[in-house]
This record gives sequence, C-alpha cells and structure tokens, in this order.
Amino acid sequence: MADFQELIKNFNHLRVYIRAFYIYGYGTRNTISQKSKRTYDNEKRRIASYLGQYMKHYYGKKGKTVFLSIDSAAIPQNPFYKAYQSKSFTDNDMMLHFFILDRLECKKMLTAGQMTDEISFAYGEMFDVQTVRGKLREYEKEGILQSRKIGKALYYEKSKDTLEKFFPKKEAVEDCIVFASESMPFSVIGSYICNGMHLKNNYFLWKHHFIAHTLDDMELLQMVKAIEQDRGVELVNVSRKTNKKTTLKGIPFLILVSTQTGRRYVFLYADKQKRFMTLRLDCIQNVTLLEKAQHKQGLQQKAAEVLQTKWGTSVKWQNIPEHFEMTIFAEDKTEQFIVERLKREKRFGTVKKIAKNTYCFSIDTADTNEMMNWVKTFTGRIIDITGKNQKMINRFYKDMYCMAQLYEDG
Amino acid sequence: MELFSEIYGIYYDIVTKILQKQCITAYEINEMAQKYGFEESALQMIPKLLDGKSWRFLEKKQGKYVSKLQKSPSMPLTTLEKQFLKAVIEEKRCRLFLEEEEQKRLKQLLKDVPPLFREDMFDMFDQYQDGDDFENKNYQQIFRSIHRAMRSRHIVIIKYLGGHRSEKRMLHKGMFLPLKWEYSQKDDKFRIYCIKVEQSGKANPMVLNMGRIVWAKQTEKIWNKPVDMEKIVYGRKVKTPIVIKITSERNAIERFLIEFSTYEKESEYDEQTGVCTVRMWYVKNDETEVLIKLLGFGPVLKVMSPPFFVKQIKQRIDKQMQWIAKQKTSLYPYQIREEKNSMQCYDVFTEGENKSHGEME
Repeated sequence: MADFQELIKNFNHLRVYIRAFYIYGYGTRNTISQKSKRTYDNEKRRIASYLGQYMKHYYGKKGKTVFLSIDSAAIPQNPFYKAYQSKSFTDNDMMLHFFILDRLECKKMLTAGQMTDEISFAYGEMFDVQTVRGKLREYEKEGILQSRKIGKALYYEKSKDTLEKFFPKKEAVEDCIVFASESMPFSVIGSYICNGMHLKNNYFLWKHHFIAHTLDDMELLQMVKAIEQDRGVELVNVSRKTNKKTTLKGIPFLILVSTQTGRRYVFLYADKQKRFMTLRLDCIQNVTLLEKAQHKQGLQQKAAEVLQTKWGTSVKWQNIPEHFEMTIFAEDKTEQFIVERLKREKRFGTVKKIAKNTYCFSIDTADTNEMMNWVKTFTGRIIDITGKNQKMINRFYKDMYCMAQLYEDG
Repeated sequence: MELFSEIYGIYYDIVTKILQKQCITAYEINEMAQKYGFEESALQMIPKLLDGKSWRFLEKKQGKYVSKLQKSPSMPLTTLEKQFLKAVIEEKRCRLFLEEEEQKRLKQLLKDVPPLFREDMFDMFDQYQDGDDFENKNYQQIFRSIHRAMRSRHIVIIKYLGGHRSEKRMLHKGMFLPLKWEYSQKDDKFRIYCIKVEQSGKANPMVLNMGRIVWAKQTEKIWNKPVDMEKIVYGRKVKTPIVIKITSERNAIERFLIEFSTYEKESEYDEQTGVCTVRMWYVKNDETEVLIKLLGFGPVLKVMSPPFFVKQIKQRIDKQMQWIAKQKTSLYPYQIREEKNSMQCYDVFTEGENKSHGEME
C-alpha cells in the first residue's frame, strides 16, 4: 500500500462503502468488495482515517466484519461531513489557491498575466499563464473571485463577501448556522461555514436524524438545479438487489423525503418510459443536467394529480384511488393520545369518532399496500379494516396470524 | 459550483491554519496536522509541506518555518455558501435563532443571491401534522427567551401543558434550567432538555415539549453548579440491547436497517438462512416508538429479547387476535387456517436461534 492516498477524486466509491459499513454493517471483505479486494482495503483504510472513532469490527463465520456504529442522537455533528473534506488536488492547485488569494489581498485587482508575474516576483514560483487563468476562472465560478473588464483586459479581484462582513457578531448567528448545518437540506454546506467560523454545537441534540442523507447531496444538488431551471437530467440508477446499472433520462419535479424511514426520492417523469416514477436518491449516480424540458409545463397538472393520492412514494399514471377504512379502539377517558396519534399521522385521511371508544380512519389512496406498515403499528387496537384492495386486507390478517404463531412459544 | 471541492477540504483548512501562524516549528506543524486532520493526514501532508518541492509556502529560517505569504490567508464565502445562507434565513425553524434585526441585516446582504433551494421543492410526506407553530409570535417570543437563558445559564419560570392522556390537558408551572434543544424532523418539534429546579433545591432532569409551553420568564438566578450532560442526555439508553431477527422477505432487511439507522446497532447476516440478526440500543423514553415501529414490520421480523420487550409485543398481538376473533363478519380465522400451510415466514427464525454470534469488539 505504498501509494495509498488518503484523499479521493471520486465520491461515489466512498459513498457506497460508507453506506455498506454504516447502514448494513454486516459485509465482509469478500462480500463488499465491488471491484477488487485492494479497492476494499483502500476504501476501508480511508474510512478508518476519516471516521476511525466510530469503526468497530467483529469476527463472524465469514471472517472479519467491519462496521460503523453511530448513534445519531449522541453526536454533535454529522461525522460523514468529514468525507466531503477529502477531495484530492494537485500540488499546483494547492499553491495557486494560497498565492492567488494572497496576491489579490495585496494588489486588489490583477489580470491573469499580471497574476502570473506577481506570483513569480513575490514567491519565486513560475506557473504557466494558462494554468493561472484556469484557476482564476474556476474561482470566479465558485464565487471566491469576481471579474471585471477594463478596456480589453479582464481583471480579477477577491470577493468582498467575507465571513467578517457577513457575521460581525459571531454570537448573533452561530446557533442559527449550527442548527442549519444539521437540519437543512445540503447541511454539509452549513458545516463548511461552521469550519470557517470555528463554530461548535453547544446547544443541539437530534432525534430521528438520518445522517446518511448527506452522502447523496451531490445528486440532490443536481436535481434541485434541474427542478429550479425546468431542465431534464440523465442519471444512472443502480439496482440494490442486482447491482445492475440503468441509464435513464427524465424531468425531476419534486424531492420526496421520508422523515420516518430515512429514504429520499426524486419524483420524475421518465421520458422513454412515458410515466412518472420515484427513484431513491441513494441508488442514483452521475446525474447530469440536460437542456430545458419544454414539455414540463404540460405535465404539471398530471404530476399534481398523481401526487395527490400517494400515501408514500408509490405513484400510478392511472390514478384510481383505493378506499380504505380502519376502526380503532381507544378509551375516550384515558387514551386520547391514540386519537391524537391518528390525527397527526393520518396524512390526507380523515379520523372520526363513530361510537364510544371507537374511531374510524378512512382514506382514498393510490396504493393501499404502502400504508399497511403504518396500519400494523396499531396492532392490538384494530377492531376492523375494510377496503377496496382485498388482497392487502387478506395479507393483514395473514400477517397477524403469522405473528401470533411467531410469538406463540416465546 | 462544486459541493465536493478541495477548497472546503481538510488539507486546505490545515494549511490555512499553519500559514496564519507566520512562523512555526516542524513540531507545531505536526501537532496541527494531528489535531485537525484525518488519522493519516500528518503522514501525508508534512513531507509535502517541508520538502521544499511540493507545497512551497514555507521557508526555513533559524530552525523555524516562515510563511512566504504577505497576508494572513482567508477565503471569502463561496456562492454555494451564500445560496445556502439565503435558504437558511428564509427557513422558519432557523429564523428562530436570529433576532429580527439580524434577519434584516442578512436579508439585505443577500438580496441579490438566489436561495440554493426552495421549501416547496421538498415534500416531507410522512412528517407529523401536529408540529410546532414556528410562525406564531408567542411561540417565537418564548423560544427566544428560553434560548437566551440557555446561553446565559439563567433559570426560567415556565408554564406548560401536560400530556394528553385524557381529553383535558393540565397546566403546570415550574422553575427550569434549559440545557439543550432537541429537534426531530419527523415530529417537526423542538424539545428542551432541562433541569427542573424544585423549591427544596432538588434538581431533576426533564424533557419539555416547546410547543406545550404557554409562558416563560427568565429570572435573575444563574445556575453555576456543574451539570452532567452525558448522564442527562445519554444516561437513559438501555444497557441491554434489543435483539431482532429479520428475514429478507419483502426487502425487510434493507428497510429495517435504513429505518433504524439512527440507532446504535450491530448486525450480522447469515447467508444460509437469509436472516439478519441485529442488536440495537435505544433510549428508554423511546420504547413505545420502537415497539410500534417493529410491529409495523409484521411477521418479517421477530424480537428475540429482552423478555419484557417480547412480552409487550405478545400482549399487543394477543389483543389483536381477540379483536379478529370478535369479527363475526370477517372471513377470518377461517381463511387463515386455509393459508397456514403456505406461510413459511417464521421457520427461518427458529433455524437460526441457537447459533452463536461472533465476538464483538
């Protein structure tokens, strides 16, 4: 491992391995290694380097199993942000970063040619003017520099939007930024600001905090851009079961977030398949933006119609809602918390009191099947369930019987 | 605009810190790389910084290293950071931590910056519907006064509504030292970890729902005794893990591991039986939540231990079977008996039950 590098060029491998160690946590060198054992060893070593304090292992029948053990309620900051700080670079990248910013701090405004000369005079370092120009352009794109044309020459200057200008009183904003750096979409960007301001989390704890979401933020960023600009995307969808990669083109409309099951999806119209679908963000790779989707406007109404009756993420082009009713027992005097629970979890369903200690939840939804896990959380109180999808109702009873058998003898 | 870029990277950050020192020893450089870097950063960075060939920022003078830069290095905010900030100040929960004046100032600074995303691009379809009313003026006022007290360690008098067992909630009053906020996206609620200070001087840890607080007033009293946060916050985690066996039917293993990824857990997969065994630790207060979530999975998983937890599951299933038996109009249990032979889901659990697990380290 003489040429092992701690930093990486491509985030995708790391993303896959972190998920394997954190979410699944039971893979061995033989079962996880996607390309080769060497890749496994390198990725494991990197993850150990970034997240060593959370890495554990045990020896099972199949050999050594390495996993990440993290209680997301007990961490001050999402440890996976570290992975985002691991981008590799060249020696020139590193030197130009500091030399350019230093020169512009002293000279205020320079052309690419002047910058090349300045670097040479001030630090005795020779760079090709094209390399310097490339870096200046790149930094303009990132918003660190601004350019201004004077005559025929293009001058670059440092952006005036410094941390000091934005946050003259650190204490007035620090808790807002720390909170945003864990709770908002793209919260890793909040963590970059926290790093710049040396902010620490002193006042926050998190519950139901799905930290692995952050690993999909690059794909999410492309999706959000596409939604904002009404553009299409091309992406690679990786099947969890078969690992098969499928390239797909579509128009993203909405990001669906499950705050309970920890999954995020993109709801899009797939051009070739000519239907709406939801794809899990953690199964998506290599999202590229396409041209403006001229036909998006014409699909808006259908999209709204399809979304209207979905319980979770299952959507159907032919939106024929299935009626479903569940009758629940809750003592009027002592178990109002059950009624409250029904009300807060009913989504677009309705809850009515139909008799003493008896409440009815009813809904017309695109897919009864999606709702059945939630229905089973009321096990012990379900007086009756009825609905159009008899197959699902049968399955409920079958499940209950099966569970009774399962726990019959302890 | 790159989200994954070296300009946010840990190496650039460490070099910034080193160059901010102007003059530094090799020992101090090593110390900084160890402190702020990844585990192997020092090994990889130091030769590049000191070999005079790779990252040529430092000149050796009288045994020390002097920065070639003329100014202390700093980087302005990137467009990505500004766009994120714009989204932050437009977000109702984040705004709770900013006073009105500060919100106005930042809004003015960011007036030409588009937000990175809009709230309506996201549909949190299963978020609970009784979340806190973040835009209510009274809520905001109480929130900010509690937050100020949290920062200054002042004791606050709080009036709050009790739990909702019966149809009427009781109003309570007490003196509290607020310690930490807890936010749950699923509940869309803030809770406050605090200490209830009794008249007798006794102090008891408590968790209050921010949404149930109807009135709060900061007192002059400052709490200056030490507080064992670890014990208050994490001390309530169960010592014995819950042991669950999950089959691969209905994609249950993956669904389970993602859904419960927020908990500390250890998992082991048996390829022969296709069963995953998970040991999971939870906070005692969340027991009912864990229990009903597990019930939601149905027969694709089985809770093996601890016995008291298994007993609770059995009680709920027994009750459910009683409801089913009462249904005279139902097709069941007749049809269930018909289908009994086709149900294999529980066989796999018994097969793997006596197998030993590997040693955990």
